[in-house]
Amino acid sequence: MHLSLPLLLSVALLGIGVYGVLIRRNAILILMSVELMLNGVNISLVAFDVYWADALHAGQSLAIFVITIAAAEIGLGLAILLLLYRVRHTIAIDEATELREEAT
Amino acid sequence: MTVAIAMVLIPGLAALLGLVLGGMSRAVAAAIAVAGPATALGLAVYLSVQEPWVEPLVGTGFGEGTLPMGATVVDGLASTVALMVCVVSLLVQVYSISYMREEPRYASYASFISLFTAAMLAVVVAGDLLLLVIGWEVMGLCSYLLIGQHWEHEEARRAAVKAFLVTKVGDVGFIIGIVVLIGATATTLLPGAVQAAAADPTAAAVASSLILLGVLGKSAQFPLHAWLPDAMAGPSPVSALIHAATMVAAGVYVVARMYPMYLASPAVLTTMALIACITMLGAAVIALAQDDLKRVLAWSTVSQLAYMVAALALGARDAAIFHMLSHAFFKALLFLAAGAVIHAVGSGTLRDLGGLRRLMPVTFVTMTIGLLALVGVFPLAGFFSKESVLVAAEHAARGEAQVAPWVGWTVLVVAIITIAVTAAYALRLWLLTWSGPQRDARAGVSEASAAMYVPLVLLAVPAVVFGFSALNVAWLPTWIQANATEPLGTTEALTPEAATIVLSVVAVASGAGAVLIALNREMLGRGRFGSFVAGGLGVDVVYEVLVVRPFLVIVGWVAAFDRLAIGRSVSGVAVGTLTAGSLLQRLYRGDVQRYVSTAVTAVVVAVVVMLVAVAT
Repeated sequence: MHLSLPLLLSVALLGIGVYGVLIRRNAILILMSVELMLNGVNISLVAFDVYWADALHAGQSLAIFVITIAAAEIGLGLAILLLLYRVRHTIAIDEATELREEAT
Repeated sequence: MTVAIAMVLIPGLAALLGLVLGGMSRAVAAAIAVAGPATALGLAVYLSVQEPWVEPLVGTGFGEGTLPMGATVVDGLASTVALMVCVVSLLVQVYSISYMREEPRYASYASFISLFTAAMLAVVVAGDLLLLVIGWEVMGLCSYLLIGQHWEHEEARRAAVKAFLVTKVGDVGFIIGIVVLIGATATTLLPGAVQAAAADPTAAAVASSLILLGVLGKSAQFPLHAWLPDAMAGPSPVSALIHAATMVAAGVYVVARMYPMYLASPAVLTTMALIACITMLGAAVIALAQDDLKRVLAWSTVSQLAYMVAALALGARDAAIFHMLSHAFFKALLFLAAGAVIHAVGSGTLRDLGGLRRLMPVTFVTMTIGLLALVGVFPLAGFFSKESVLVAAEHAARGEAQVAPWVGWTVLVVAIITIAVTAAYALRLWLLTWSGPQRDARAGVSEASAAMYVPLVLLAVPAVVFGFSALNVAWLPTWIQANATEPLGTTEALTPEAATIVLSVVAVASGAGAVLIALNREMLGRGRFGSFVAGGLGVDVVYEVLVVRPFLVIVGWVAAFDRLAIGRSVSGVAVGTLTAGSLLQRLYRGDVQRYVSTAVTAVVVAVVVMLVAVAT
């Protein structure tokens, strides 16, 4: 299989993920988009690992790291969102603006 | 360490000890204060009976190489003046114990006097130019500290700053002159430098005229004289010290020390003579119009110093030193007596005095002796020393000096007139202080304590008999010239001559007579002209217009530059940072997605730029 096919899939997933992060207001959908970006990167890592026939399989190792971190991140993110929902009864990201600094 | 260096260091050490230990008790401070000059006096006596010598240079390391420093010259001139300094300083310290009894800052006061003495002794025995400059500058500092002793009073603070600044104007010239002298002669050894400069008329003229500036400042000669009368804001013993032994004597002494160099430049001598004439008569006239006991004496010091400067200008170094010594005795006596009067009455204004003759007999007698010596009445010290200056002027008028005869004539005429004026102000001072009806308010006034009048009596003795020491060539003249490092040729006795005696007696009589006539008609009050004279003949106004106002304008420019250019640029940086910060702050609206899109855009732009950069 030509390297460009998995890379195209990777770029497509990353692009969809970036689009979702930028466009969606629902925080859960944003988290899902972040997952898409991470997995897009994972695909390119694994593809390059195979392509270079790396004896140490650095690409696969890194992909497992990313999966681990993604799991931790989604757990943390969902916990924050749950608390946010309890306090504000909404998880629309553009309404959570309390921490901005007022212009002087 | 040599005896001469020890003589300088011991009062200096006393100053240090006095500052450290003086806080324990007044008795400790007083004991240290008296011990310093007393030890120095002992060493000065020892030095003056020794064979005079020039100490070799001692190398002192300063960065790379060594700078020879600490050489001393102890010839007859130095040891004579050192004796005078130690005697006056010791008596001033003893007197101060009683006079400054109420003073809370006595310990530091006594320490500064000790330091002042040490600095003057350093100038006196200095055998190299660097030690001379150090002593000279330390004296400037001490005069500032002591004049400002009562710094609670606005007047004292102003006087201290004025004394410091006015003498500093001269000191700038002094230091440049010393540097020129070292540069031209390639030695820092004072006798060597002076002799080398004397052989080189250009170097002698430049160096001596620059050093003369410092001398004019320290010895309070026109136009740098204005600080001395204001220095009356200091305590009376300090005035006695400054006017007799230290400060003002230092200027005259330095010219005497560098005399061959001055003799090599007649133009500088002529300038000195003319400055002396202006100062002599001007200060005496101003003294006549003063309302304050100490200010009369202060202006009289300015006038008498001019006699010494005139004698130096006319080639009569020994006459100048002779007058300096006798003046030291009677002027210290006068100031200490004035201090006793002020201490007793609580005021130095002549209007408040009068009728004190019976109440303060010792002060009365000693002050009368001092005034008679100041006027120059036979056989007191002032008579002989002033006559020696007049004789020098007469010789110069006959063309026997380095300067032109007309300079000698000018000095002679002005000096005779000044004697008349001196007699007038001295008699006026005496009458207003001592004679007149005894007033009721004087009930609490009594004679000063023993610590105060014993120095007066001790100073009155040389004020009476010191004059005779110059009559025999084997006495004072030989002593001053003993083993001189810069011989002045033949030594002669400083005897008066008939013509000058007649002239000065006529002058004294006419001056005193004029005052007596004026007193009988009650003309001692003064009108507008009198106020003008009392204010120093408008010299302060001239300073104001020529120096102070232009200076303030320039200072205003500097301040404006500081405020507008430097200050504005600093605050401009602050304002600019704040403005930029508040502009950036507008980006942060709490919209997370906008932050992310900005970051993504930035990454995309960065990647594109990188690719373009790699491709080209």
